Amino acid sequence: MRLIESYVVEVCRFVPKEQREEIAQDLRDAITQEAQEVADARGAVPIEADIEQVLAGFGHPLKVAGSYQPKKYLIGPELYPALWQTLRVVLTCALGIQVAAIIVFARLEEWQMGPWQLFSMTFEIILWIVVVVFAAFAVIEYSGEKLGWYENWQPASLSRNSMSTVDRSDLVTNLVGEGFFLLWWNDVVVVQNFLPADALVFSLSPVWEGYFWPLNFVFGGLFLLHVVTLTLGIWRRGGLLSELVLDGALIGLALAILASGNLLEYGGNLAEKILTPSHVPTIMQVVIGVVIAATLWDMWTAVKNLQGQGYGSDDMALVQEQG
Amino acid sequence: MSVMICEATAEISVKLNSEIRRGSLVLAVLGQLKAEHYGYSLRKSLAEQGLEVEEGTLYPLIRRLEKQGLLQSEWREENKRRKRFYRLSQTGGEVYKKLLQEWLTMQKCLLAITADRQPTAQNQVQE
Repeated sequence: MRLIESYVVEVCRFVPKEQREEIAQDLRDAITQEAQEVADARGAVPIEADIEQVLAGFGHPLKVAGSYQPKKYLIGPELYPALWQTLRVVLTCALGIQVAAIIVFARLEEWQMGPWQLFSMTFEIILWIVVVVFAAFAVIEYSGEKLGWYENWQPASLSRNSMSTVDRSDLVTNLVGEGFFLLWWNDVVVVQNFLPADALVFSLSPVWEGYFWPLNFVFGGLFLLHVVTLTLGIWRRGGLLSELVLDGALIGLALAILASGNLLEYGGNLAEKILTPSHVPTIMQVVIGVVIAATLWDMWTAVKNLQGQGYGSDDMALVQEQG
Repeated sequence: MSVMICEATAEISVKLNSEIRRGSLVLAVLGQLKAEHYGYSLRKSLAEQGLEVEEGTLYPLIRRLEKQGLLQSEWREENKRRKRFYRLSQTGGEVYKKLLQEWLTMQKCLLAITADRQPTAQNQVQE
């Protein structure tokens, strides 16, 4: 009977202490009865193989222990999608702020933090966020059950500002471009010149210095806006209006930069052979023109979404259309 | 590709079957315990009627139903062995009637909904 006792002990490890004795007795009786019936069917006394057969029928101790309890969740299936979405938004924002802070500190003072310290700090932030979000959702789970949140829900509580779903590939493309620009603009990433030093050298003219903070502000704002929108999975009216304002500011800055005169300085033997002084402004005009065109496209998309071509179409029109 | 689809279908079917069984099992156990049974005989009688239940599912379920006051039990000797016999309590009988009524209503609805898809001898042969 060593097997039966071992099995009972194993199951009872996972049941509440106050029920342990009773369940152990229940289980012991049930297994013994089943084993006797199996042995009776063979016309013999129970042997270890009979008990093994019965225990196999009962299944894994953890599963049996779970069956003795009502189903309980720390975070139930109804809240799980919201938990996951909140975690994504909060983590993305926190990490975005972390990156921005690193960039700013790196520029303002000598950066003294090593990669291990950076990793450790980031890990600590992630850990805290996960703990706090889980704790908050556990509270929501239990208070929600007690206060009947689901039963008391009213359609009037719906957000009336949901405009349309996002085009993820478009947003990711924007994020990559904005992220790379921010890293390059703040000297975190340096674009390597693979040509010999005296062949072709480009650098931005001092004119750009005046645009350091305005461009950081506009691109940083767009970056954060697109991160939040991507994680929310939806464009809201506020987000679209912010997109329009920031895009407008970017176009304004681009036009001001274009009007600022000499934007690029160059040198080297090769440059003198292939470039004339008129080429350089043209190159910059084309580059900035592409940025303006892409920004105009984003503005056009935002205006379309604001006009309600997503699922924010007028309810009555939608109902009449269906009718 | 078709193997993957078959595997996915099988997995989904197993999950849904388990959900259907979980809901029906309480009714089956209550129904069976209108007559007195001990654990093993209950499991056997369910199996004989086509409802195989694992021991690890049945015994915890019996205990939960007893805790809820739907079953009552007593220890008795049968064939020189002490056995715990279960049967419906008065509350269990009332709950059983309500559950059965709900089940029959649901069954009627499902039969109406799936009327054109029910397997007949002819389309079973074709399949």
